[in-house]
Amino acid sequence: MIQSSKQDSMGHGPVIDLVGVSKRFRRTLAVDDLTLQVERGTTFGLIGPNGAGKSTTIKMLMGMLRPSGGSVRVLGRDVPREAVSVKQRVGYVPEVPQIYGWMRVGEVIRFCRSTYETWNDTMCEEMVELFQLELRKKVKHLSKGNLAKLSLLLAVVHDPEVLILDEPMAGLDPVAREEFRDGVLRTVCERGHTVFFSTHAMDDIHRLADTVGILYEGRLLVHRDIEQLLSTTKRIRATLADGATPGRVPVGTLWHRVEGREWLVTVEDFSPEKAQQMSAEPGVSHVEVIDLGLEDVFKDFVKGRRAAS
Amino acid sequence: MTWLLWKEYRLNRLILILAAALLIAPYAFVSVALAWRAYKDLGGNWTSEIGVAFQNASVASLMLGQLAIAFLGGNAIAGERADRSAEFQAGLPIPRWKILSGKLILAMLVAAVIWGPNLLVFKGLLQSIPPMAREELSGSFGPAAVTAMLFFCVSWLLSSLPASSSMAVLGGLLSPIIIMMGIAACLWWCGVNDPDDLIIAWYYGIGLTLSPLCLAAGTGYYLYRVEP
Repeated sequence: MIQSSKQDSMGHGPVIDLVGVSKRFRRTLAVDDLTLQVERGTTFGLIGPNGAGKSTTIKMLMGMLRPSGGSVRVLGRDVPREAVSVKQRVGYVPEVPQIYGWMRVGEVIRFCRSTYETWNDTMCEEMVELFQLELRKKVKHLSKGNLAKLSLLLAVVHDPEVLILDEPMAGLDPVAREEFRDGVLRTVCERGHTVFFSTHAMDDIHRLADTVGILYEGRLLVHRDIEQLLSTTKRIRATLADGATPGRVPVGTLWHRVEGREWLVTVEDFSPEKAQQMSAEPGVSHVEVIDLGLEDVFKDFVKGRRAAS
Repeated sequence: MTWLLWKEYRLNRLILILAAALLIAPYAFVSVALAWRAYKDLGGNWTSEIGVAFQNASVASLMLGQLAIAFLGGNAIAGERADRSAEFQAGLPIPRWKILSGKLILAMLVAAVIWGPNLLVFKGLLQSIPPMAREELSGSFGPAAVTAMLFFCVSWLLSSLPASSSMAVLGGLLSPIIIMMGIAACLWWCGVNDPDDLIIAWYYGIGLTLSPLCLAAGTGYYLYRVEP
């Protein structure tokens, strides 16, 4: 029996609530029993290697794919059943915006304006100016950066409660990336939106996200506050004596490897006892605890899971 | 709804230009031919043939116009799926029924523009042609209407499936031929002599049954489908 923590009438509870969600494309299981909650006003970053199921998850959140199983709720509403009303309150930026190329920027804005009940003209004008978008220009003639900015503009000017971004900065040059990120930050800071975004760039996660999730082969490996994840995931470097072989790894080991005389063990929920356990192993002469960056944490989670399977 | 209709118009602008060209071409051809005949003064009472010529043009214009209807049906859903703009639309809070309504309204407007003027010309000139020809030409409107329905509804159904718009148009255009051939084969197999009237009757029956079924199936599938 699937239990879902729904939002109450006051809007309490998770804004995004996925419970036991799976999505199968014929023989491929793209998302596997995914349970994830994102609280109101927080920014959640989803990372994972290519094909991990990030875009599939986001499309299910947007009501663009029907889940094969489980429950997908956004703002307390069942997405597959109430997709239109959910989209009224959600802004969405896809990885590659497929906006009608033959439309002019001004026409796209007016077209989208006609579909939202809460369109904010003043904000729209401000963002057009901020992003320096030419209203007369055809969408197909926009640069990749400007297309991404237009897509962000269309996603935020109806003042959504949730902003969902699917690798929106992929392929953007550093300047466009910075401007896009500032646009998102501005929205988050000024309006307090809940943001759910996927990315490959750890820098974006660091700059934007409060909590992070690592998705691998459709499964959520971890979902935690970034600072907590970084403070509890450590690498223990043990130096082995000549001819010694690695012993038992501590509980909570994500991944380990031996490089010459170095035995590297990445553990989650680190505690000094785990380092002591390793130093007590026969043949271990020295133990050192290393802080990891988000990229290393991500890599070790993925490599550990890959090795386990 | 106005913006959805505008979007449909822009998406199908080429087809609409084709429809206008097919609508006008037979009249233009007849006008040029009559003017040439008058200019060359080839003799005979050619002015009495103006009515017949323009009536034939109205029938030809009507028949050619059906092609545009098939193109509209085939392009309706598959067109936006092919260029992936359906994904953009799917991210917007537009109910599916509204999207379909825009497409159907445009198709009905085009059908009205193709059928309305041609029927008016035909009716207006009815008295200027001999009764035999009048009957023969009038008799072509029924099958043409059924063919138009098949063109649109079959290509609409195929367009709603994840097929390309060209396959959907082709399917729509081939459907009357396949039905006719099927009926003829059945009657031949049953040993029916002189099957012409039966073929038309069966064509009406099958066409008028199949078209609404295809329209309903295509609409239902698109409404049920979550994917763009």
